Amino acid sequence: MNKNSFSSDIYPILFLTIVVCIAVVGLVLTNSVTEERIEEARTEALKEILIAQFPDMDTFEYDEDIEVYTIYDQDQEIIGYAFETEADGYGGEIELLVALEGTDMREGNIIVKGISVLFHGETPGLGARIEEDAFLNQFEGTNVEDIRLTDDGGDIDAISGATVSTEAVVNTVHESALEKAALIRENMEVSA
Amino acid sequence: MNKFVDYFRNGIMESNPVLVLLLGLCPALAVSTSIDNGLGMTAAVLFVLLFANIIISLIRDFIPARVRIPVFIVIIATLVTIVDLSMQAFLPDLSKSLGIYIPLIVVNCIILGRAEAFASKHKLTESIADALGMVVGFGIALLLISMFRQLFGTGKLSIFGLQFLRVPGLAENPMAIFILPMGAFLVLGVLLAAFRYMGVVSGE
Amino acid sequence: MNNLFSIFIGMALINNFILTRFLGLCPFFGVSKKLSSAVSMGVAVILVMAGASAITWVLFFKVLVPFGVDYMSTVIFILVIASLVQIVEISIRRTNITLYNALGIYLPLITTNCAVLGVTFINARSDFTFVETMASAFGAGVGFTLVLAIMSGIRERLELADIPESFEGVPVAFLVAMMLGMAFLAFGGMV
Repeated sequence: MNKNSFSSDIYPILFLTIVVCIAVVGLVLTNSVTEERIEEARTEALKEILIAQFPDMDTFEYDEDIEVYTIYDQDQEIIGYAFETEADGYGGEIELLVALEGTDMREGNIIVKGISVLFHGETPGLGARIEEDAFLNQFEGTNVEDIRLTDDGGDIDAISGATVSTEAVVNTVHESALEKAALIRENMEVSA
Repeated sequence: MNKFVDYFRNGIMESNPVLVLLLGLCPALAVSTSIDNGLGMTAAVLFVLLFANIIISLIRDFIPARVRIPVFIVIIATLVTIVDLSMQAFLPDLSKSLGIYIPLIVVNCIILGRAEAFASKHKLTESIADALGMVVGFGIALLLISMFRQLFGTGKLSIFGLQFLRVPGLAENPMAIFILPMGAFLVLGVLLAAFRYMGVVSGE
Repeated sequence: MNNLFSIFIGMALINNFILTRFLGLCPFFGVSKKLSSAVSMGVAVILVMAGASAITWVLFFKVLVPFGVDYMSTVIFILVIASLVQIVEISIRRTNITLYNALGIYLPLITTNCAVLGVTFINARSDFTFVETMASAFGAGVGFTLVLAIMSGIRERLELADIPESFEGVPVAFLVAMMLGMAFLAFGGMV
């Protein structure tokens, strides 16, 4: 009887343990097959986003300290910089990638090459229109000083019905571009 | 063989998981913004449900009743993780647009429900038939919902980037509410009522 | 502080679990027929969400990520939630039988409630700190309870309404959910 109750207690636990062990082995195997591929897919996706802004890009480098990508062309010349930033939109965070031209980053010489929207939760038909080219193209080749809404004396027209979203994007791009440009310049001075 | 067909049919018609049993609503509503997403989710559920039913049906005589549910959960969660990792590796775009709804297949009531109510009591072939029927039923529901949402919400219909219908007028000024979460409630509510009206499914 | 408040509001109102993320729909349509049971269910969900978020945060950021096995998170999280629900159920049954009678039948349902697992995934993916995780968990729970309670109130009234036969019951509940969602859309832009 003693033995019986022992086995009726032990068996379920033993069974569950075996199932868990098999599951863990299965997961480790799957991970070893997919891990490298996932990393590759992520790099590829990133490369695609960067190439959309820098068609001449050959390679890029990521500086973890200042969180900036440096973009090189085929001759290994710097053609620009890019960084990711977040704006507080109407429906949560808007993730943006901002591309800067490869200038000396002195004041008045900071030029936005373009921006891409990586992720947003804005309302379709209203705030989501920040994804449209008509809005995004306004940023291309614009001096950071002019990246303000036309109402504030800048060059960017707001989208009607999407004031919160456009203001968030424009102000974030303006502020973060100035901030990152200063960091990039500091780096340049150190290495020079 | 006859039984096989019966169990398969049952999942599509009398106990369609989404339209009749109202199970698996989270994924059905959340990812039905486009047909692509709907098909991707159906494929993921197919893999998990099929293998969960197969494995559980094979080991059903050995599973101690007391740890039944934890065993099911471990098996399902493992299968879901395999799907999740494979999708991230080989279909990164789809994986990104389905987001947390892929790992959430773990708590999709259809899968645990079928494991408990069907696979743990039936033979292998019957469990496979049940899984296939359920997934086809789930897929049909998802396809219907996502088709209406995509059509009204964008004015276009396309599968995997291949556009085959564009409604003039609607495409320029789409009814964005259908893409919004509310649109999912609207479409499913009206679909259910329409099916009841036509007598396809019975009311409460 | 401001940040915690915006996480809370974001989870509870702007990205409400039921209305915009479709998490926790099964209890939403099952339990939302009576106000009292909706509130009991909501309280149980808040408790489990808070507990599960705290435990999974520690496990994810202190164990899984440092050891590079974060791909195990799905399996671990669901096991944590399942055991937590068991423990809560047993301890409530032993200590407070009235509370058990009120909450008991809802507890097993919570294991397969996608809202609980959903909040743990969202926390892990958002790289929240521990305090932010708790704000997010409470926000999600409160938002869930709020919508469940509103819905049950509306459904109690709907019982008396003259609804076309094919829309009775669940279909009309979906339409009400749609309208609630539109109302909640106005919370956007609050933070």
